[in-house]
Amino acid sequence: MRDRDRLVIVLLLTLAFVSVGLPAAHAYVDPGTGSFIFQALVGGLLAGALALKVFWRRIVGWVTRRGGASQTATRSSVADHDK
Amino acid sequence: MAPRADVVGGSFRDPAGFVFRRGGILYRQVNQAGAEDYDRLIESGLAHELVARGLLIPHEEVAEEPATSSGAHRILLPDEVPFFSYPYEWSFSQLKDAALATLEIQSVALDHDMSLRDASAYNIQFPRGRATLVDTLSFERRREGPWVAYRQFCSHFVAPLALMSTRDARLGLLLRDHIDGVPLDLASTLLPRRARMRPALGLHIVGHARSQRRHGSEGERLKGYRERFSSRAFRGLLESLRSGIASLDAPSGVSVWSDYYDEATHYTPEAAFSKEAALGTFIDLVRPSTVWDLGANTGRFSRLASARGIDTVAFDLDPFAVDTAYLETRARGDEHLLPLVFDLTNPSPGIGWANAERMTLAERGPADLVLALALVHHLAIGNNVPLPMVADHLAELGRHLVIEFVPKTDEKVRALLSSREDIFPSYSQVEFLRAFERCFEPIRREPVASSERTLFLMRRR
Repeated sequence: MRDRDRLVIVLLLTLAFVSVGLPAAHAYVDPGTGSFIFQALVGGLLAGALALKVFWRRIVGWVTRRGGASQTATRSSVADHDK
Repeated sequence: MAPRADVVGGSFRDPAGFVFRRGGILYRQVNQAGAEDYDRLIESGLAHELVARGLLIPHEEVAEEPATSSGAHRILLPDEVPFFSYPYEWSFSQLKDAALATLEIQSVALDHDMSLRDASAYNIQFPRGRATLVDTLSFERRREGPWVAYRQFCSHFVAPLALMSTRDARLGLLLRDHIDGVPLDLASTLLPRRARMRPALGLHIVGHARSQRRHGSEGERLKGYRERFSSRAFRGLLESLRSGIASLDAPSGVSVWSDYYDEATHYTPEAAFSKEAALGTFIDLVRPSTVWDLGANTGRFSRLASARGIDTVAFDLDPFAVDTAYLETRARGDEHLLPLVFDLTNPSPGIGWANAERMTLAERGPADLVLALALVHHLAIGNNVPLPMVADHLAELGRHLVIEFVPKTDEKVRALLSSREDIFPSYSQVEFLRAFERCFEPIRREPVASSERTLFLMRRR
């Protein structure tokens, strides 16, 4: 399963929680209040998603640097051999 | 007695300050109510950094008389914005750039322990061709808890962008009916099923709308929720919005007006060159400081003005043509051309409180020079607008006019008349001149080579 698919499932579960987890309102509705509460409900998830994204970028960056370094090393050794 | 000051229509809601015009110059008054946040904006270095990055309009503090007798903290003189445009006049890519600029500003503000307290698309303008925040008083000290401007950001940016990208480019016009952004329940209803499954859209539109419906009356519980939103959560929210918006593609497809695209292509190269040469000569004769090109298509002729350093607005009713023009303008780094979506037969009305918060086109003018190239036959024959009424309105919009008369024998007019009865016996160059000479004084005329068209330069009487 790709990371993106996992993220979709987690988000859908969160949406389901947000939709049914608390009683429905029947009085005067202020969309600003609903937006405020919504952020609090999904905030932890979004913080986690960002941490994962940063972590993933670091891994990709590390692997890319390693790959670049080994390619450079290979090219150097070929060049040395040609001498 | 203080000199007369006219408070600008759309700026009455903010206790922190407002915009006023005096002697033709636009000022911003900072009230005592906004003093602490304004001083923090300056002293924290946030304003300096945002201006240096081209994200905030530069200003200087001036010793101008306040617009009100009491309560003023500072008077600011912001850099001039050549033309104020509105989100319902922007193409998809313009609204997208405005959204990404707003998020970048918010992210930089957090670094300075400040935050945007509103995220209105109307706070963004395109001076020098770049999406720039023009409301210097939008900032406040970062408060604990969720982003107070989140709902507004989603309604002003996420919802219309998602609908334009995944449903239809023309849905950007929903912003004209909904001055405080597209309601999220409406956007949620209109969003295609596949788009609802995209994480960012599912979250910030569908889930958000459901939460508004379900939790809208729980204001008394906000305190408990405030502590549940950390700075990391705030950064996560911004990144989710940014990546969601960045992943939206420009709408594709062919609009019902796509024949407008071909308007310039049926010219022979000789005719196009002749038209450009004549137009260039006319512009140099008038030496305008502002040009409005009505029916500009992708802005080919507008660029003759903007390339001369003249602030030029290129209006067209086709959102695809306008998006193409904007992307080309951005790629060229053209600081003087602003393409906008605009239907001259149903122009932007005055909207908001007392119809005075957002201006009509005429209220934003007049321009020094209006271009009406290959337009008159669409108005007079395509839309049955009598020639004297066309002349009256163009005289309201501009001090000078370059207009191209397209006779009935022209291929494009024949195409317009091919599917309808010719009820336009008075559509001729003689009648055209009779109608326009009531309002304008003809100065020059140039035939367009290899065609039956003529370009006229006129001055408003």
